Amino acid sequence: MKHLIRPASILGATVLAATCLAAGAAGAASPNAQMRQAMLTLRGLIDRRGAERYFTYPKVRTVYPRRLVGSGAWPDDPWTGRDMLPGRTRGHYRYTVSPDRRRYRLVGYTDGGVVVLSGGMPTSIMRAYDHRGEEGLNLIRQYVEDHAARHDGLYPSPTEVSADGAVRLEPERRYWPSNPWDHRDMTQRTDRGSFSYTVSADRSSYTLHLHRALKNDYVLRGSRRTGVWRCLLDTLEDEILRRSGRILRGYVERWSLEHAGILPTVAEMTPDGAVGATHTDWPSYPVNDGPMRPGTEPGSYTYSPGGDGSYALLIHLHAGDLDVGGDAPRPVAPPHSTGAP
Amino acid sequence: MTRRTLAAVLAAVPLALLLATAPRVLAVSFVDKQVQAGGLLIQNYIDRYGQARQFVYPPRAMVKKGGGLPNAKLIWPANPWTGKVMGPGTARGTYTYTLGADGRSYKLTMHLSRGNHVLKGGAPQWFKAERDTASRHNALLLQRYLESYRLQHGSYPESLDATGFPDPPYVWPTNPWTGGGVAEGSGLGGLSYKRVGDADYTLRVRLTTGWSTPALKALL
Repeated sequence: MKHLIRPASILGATVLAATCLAAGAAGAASPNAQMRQAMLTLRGLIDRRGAERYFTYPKVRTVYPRRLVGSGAWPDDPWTGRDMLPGRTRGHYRYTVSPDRRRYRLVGYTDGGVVVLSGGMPTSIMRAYDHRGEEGLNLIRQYVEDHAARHDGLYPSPTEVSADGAVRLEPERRYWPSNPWDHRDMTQRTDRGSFSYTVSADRSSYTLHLHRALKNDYVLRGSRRTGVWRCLLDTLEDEILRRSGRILRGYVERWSLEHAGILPTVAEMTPDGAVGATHTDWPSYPVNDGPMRPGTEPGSYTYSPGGDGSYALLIHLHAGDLDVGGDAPRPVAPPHSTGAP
Repeated sequence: MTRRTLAAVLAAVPLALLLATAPRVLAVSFVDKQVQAGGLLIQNYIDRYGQARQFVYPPRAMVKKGGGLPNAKLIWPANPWTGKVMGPGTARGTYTYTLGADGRSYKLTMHLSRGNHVLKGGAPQWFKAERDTASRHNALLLQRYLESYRLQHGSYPESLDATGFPDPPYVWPTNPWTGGGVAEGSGLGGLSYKRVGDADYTLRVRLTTGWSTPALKALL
């Protein structure tokens, strides 16, 4: 019998040791630790689903085994070994999502405590969306300015600043920026990624607001004084002033020819002076339609005669000064008599 | 109790214990399920890293306990076959992490007792389209800036960069792929600008599908 007891004891001890080792390896973590791990795993599944849906997180009823799309595996309730389910007792979880479904909260119930996790749209994506909204608003601003340039400088009414309004459709249909939050045309609303447009009663100025996620509204203002419309007008006015400068140069040179090479004085070279008196078609300042006068503002000129027949005539443009001066021509002297018969 | 009975009991008790725990310890599916669950946890860390970085996923050296993945310090899965920390490898209970060439996708292979369980991740489908839309926005906006520039200067600029457009102070668009100001270059979101005489130009932007077509040209 002794020879039976010894092998039986050895066999029993070996099996026990193996059992303990295997059990220890398989179940090393406590149930509470397993619960925390399960909660992190569940958060991972929710995050993946959110990222696939433009960072719109799942509805409460879909965070459930076999309902959450793409979740082939589901974490276990460590106390039952079955799929973890919603509830408020140990081994369960509670998932809540914000009304816009951009943020969520996940509470897991352990033995005597809770694990609270939260998640939502990453800030880096929100920042990128905000910046894209700013770029979209700048594009709309360009269309608004363009519209004013084609309507005598009058900025459009609010109803015209939309994806189906005149600002987009005239003179031809243009690309309209999209709202990164809903992937549709940017619209005048108050939610994130949308914008507001207001125009003054005389339609001479406007304000555009972009409603951002991370910061206060992004604001663009424009008026006839500062807008592209103003740039266009300045360019046109400068072109008129360049021509007017050439006309004034002609007056100086004609005076010189008619006065034996003597240049007009500063006082004479004015619309009310002697030169002006001989030219009824004195060039006008395009803004007020009055005659161009000496001065330093855009639309005026500075005349400086020199002693040797040269002169400076600076035309003051919006884009700087244009010097049309030079050397005035002298009348050709009659040929000298040689005294020969 | 006879010695025979005693021997029988001594042998039977451990055997009974072994049988009682056998479904939990020896069933391959149960332990492999723990390996899969561990993989999901690691994937959670990888995904959170990527989502916070515009879907650029971590390098291989980071995907391990203490490798620097955010929030991964406290809980890292154990290899149920060894009871130790789950780590990279090829044996059962370990994993292999491979990163796509552009860093925007990955594959996490969990090594089970027999075979593998593969978890994949990457930038979502909508992401490239979203970036391409942003790039097109940029080109259209710059087209408008070029027209303003011509109104002010009489011709289009030789090159296209922010320094040439100080006034009016419109926002300079951002390259959605780099986060920096958009600039000429052949990388994603980069620009190709060529002045054609004084009165025209071509402007393209690099999309995920290649250069945008048709090229934008002078409006005035």
